[in-house]
Amino acid sequence: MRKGGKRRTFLLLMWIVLLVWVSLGSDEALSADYPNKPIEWVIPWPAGGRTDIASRMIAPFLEKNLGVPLVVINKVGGAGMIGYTYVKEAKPDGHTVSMGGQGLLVGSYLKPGVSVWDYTWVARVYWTPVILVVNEKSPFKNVKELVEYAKANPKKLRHGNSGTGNSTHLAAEKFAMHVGIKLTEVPYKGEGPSVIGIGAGEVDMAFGLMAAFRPLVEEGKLRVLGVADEKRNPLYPQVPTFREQGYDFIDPAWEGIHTPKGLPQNVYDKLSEGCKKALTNPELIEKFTKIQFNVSYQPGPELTKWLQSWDRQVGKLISDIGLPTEK
Amino acid sequence: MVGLSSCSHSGILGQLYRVRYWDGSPSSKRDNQNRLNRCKKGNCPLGPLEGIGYGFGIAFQPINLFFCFLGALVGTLIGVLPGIGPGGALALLLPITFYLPPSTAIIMLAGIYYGAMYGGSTTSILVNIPGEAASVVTCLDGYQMARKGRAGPALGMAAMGSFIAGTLSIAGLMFVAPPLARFALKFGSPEYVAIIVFGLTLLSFLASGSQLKAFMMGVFGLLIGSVGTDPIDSINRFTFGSVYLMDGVGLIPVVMGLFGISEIFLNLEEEKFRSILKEKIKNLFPNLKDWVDSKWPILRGTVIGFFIGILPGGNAIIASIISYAAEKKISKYPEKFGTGVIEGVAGPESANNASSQASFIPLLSLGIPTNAVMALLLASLMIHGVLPGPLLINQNPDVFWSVIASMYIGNIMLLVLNLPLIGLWVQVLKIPYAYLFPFIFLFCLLGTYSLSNTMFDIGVMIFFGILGYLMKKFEYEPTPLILAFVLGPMFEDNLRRSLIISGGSFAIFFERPISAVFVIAALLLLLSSVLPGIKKRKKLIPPAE
Repeated sequence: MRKGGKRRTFLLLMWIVLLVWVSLGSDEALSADYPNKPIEWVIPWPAGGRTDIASRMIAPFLEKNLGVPLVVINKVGGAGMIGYTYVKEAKPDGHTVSMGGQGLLVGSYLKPGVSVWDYTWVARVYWTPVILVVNEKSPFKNVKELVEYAKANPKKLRHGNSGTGNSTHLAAEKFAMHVGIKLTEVPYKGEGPSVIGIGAGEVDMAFGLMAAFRPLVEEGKLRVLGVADEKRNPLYPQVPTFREQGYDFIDPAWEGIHTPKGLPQNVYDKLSEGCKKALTNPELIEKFTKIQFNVSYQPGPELTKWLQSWDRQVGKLISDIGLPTEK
Repeated sequence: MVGLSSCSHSGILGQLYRVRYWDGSPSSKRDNQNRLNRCKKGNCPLGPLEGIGYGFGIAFQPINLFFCFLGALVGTLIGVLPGIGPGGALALLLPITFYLPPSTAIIMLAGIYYGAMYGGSTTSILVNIPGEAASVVTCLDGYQMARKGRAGPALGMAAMGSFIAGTLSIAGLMFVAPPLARFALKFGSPEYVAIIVFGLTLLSFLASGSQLKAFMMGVFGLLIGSVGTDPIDSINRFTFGSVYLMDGVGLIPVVMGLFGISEIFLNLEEEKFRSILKEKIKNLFPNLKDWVDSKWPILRGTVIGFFIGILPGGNAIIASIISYAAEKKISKYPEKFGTGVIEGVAGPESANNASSQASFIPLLSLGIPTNAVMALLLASLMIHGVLPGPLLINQNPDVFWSVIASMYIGNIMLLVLNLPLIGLWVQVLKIPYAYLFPFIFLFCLLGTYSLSNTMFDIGVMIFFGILGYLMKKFEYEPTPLILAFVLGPMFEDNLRRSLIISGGSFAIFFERPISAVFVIAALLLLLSSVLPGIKKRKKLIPPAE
């Protein structure tokens, strides 16, 4: 008798599992009532990185606008490839969303099976200029001194970056080409180690974001020579631009929200509207400002247009540097 | 809060906590001087002692006490469950913390991290499966102690060692965090090379069986470590066209495979478990002799762990393995290591706790996360708009001091939580393995999947499980493999970068004082183990005519 009871409980449990499974698997997404289930926000990087932080900050705002839960999930591996591919191959129903930018664009030239044009771009989240820093003990007080020294001593100055082919590496190469100097590259394994490298003074200069260098700038270990933007940044107005110092050098890190290609128009509209509302919310902008990031919303079509011209520039730069590609 | 931000330095600390404005200009020099003068006169409201008092005030608020306890409890649990480590658990819990005030959130997350270091030893000792990667070496002697019926003392000493090491490290964190973090910035690539050379020299003392086999395992570990994208030129090596291998092989799948899954396989054929049951469980707590034996290993483990913890790139697993190797080298009876000596449990367990506490130093005072868990804590702080860095202690004294105060509380909670549990854990040994092991297997699968949400890691774990099984059968030890696997890629990365910086000259390792010290120490260590052998041989060879 007791044994039979046990078996019945077991069968009942199996039925419940089966029912839950079926009900989860069978919802055909109708684009008319989008969104009709939780949205998966895929990040190809580990939790705790910059993209991850930004995504998790945006998520509650977007959640509110779209009216369904938003689940941030980290699909990590293959230098982002696993996540990129996962999003590319997901159903274009607006329930799979991702965020990416410069890394994905550079990857388009270096890695097989990656292209920024495999996705629909919904909104730009941020566009933040890179800055140039030197160690506190460095003799250079401004960009001009550094450039003149480098011209007189080719390959003598070493620039640290967060990995060969990363945006910090490209920024340095772009600058070197722009002003006509030759530098020695010292790659690090990721942003953290590269920041420590310049802090320890084992490289002479480094390009990167204020968000990354901030603690050591506060500590007095690093000096900022210039910001690669048209005008000074409102978050750190003390830093002069490159342009003010006579070098017309502009280079950003940027990221945008993207989805698999081929969203139905009404889904695109709804998602796009939700993103706009979230990214123009003063409360969110304030939050980003606190961590030294400039939110700069741009709607999908404009972003796509900008991306086309930016794509050409980055493509040319990569072939000029001669980075090893696997394409 | 009132008046705290106006003056937060006193005495020596006032000088150590140098304040500069963000653009690096010492424009606050005068300001600072005034502050120092005021502090010298003894009317500065917030030195470390005042700070910690203020911190306790916040940490003792009921909500913070509750979340501190919750963190410690969850930490102990994920530490005990094999496969599920603090990294995966924190990533899962991160979204929940958005709804908490920043201090409360960090108090809980920190509790999970150091709690996991307490719990990690439990399954290492009881079933020879590390609950958490940093507890791999605890298996070596902890499990042997359990087989002799001394599971209780092993668990007790692991908890006490963790408590002592943890508490000492928090004291270190409290008094010398900023200067120490600045010291860590003196460690460039050449210094890392030197330290790793020193670490790899210690590796030769790890093996208890055949030196040749240990050497082979070390080389194999180096090979596995070289899989993935090359750190300097970004070129793929040994990836065989698989995108999954581009980021290299994960540490946790390898550790769980070699130690966890292989043990499960082994138990499928041997009924080892019964043999433990036959032995009577003698006592639950360490006796006086255990204490005498463990006293120095705990202190040494604390120092080793603390030092490795403050270094960017150092992690708890390196700390515990190095501590084990050091204990074995120092011990009067190194041959007994691996047969259940308590020093082999006390040292590494203290080291991994000291290391986990010390890794808060670079995070809180320089904003630099030294490992994946610290990166998650950084993310949680940033999302709350709290910026870790040299100004944190001024801008958010509430966060800084309450987190440190909560660590003292958390460590006591963990001790209180863990000691009574020992009796319960020992009972686990009575569960037939037919019930216990499927659960352990399930947790290994779950934990490994949660790392990066891909099935590939599970495949890696099973592969290394089979490999580990074969290694146990043929008596190859996995510990040298793990250490080489962790240190190898760091060594290559830093060596190549050092040589780029020096323009190809090896002199760089001797020109810089810190690296020279470690290289020479490694050479001495090597000589100290070779010389006795040479002397012996000289005695054997009759003097020439």
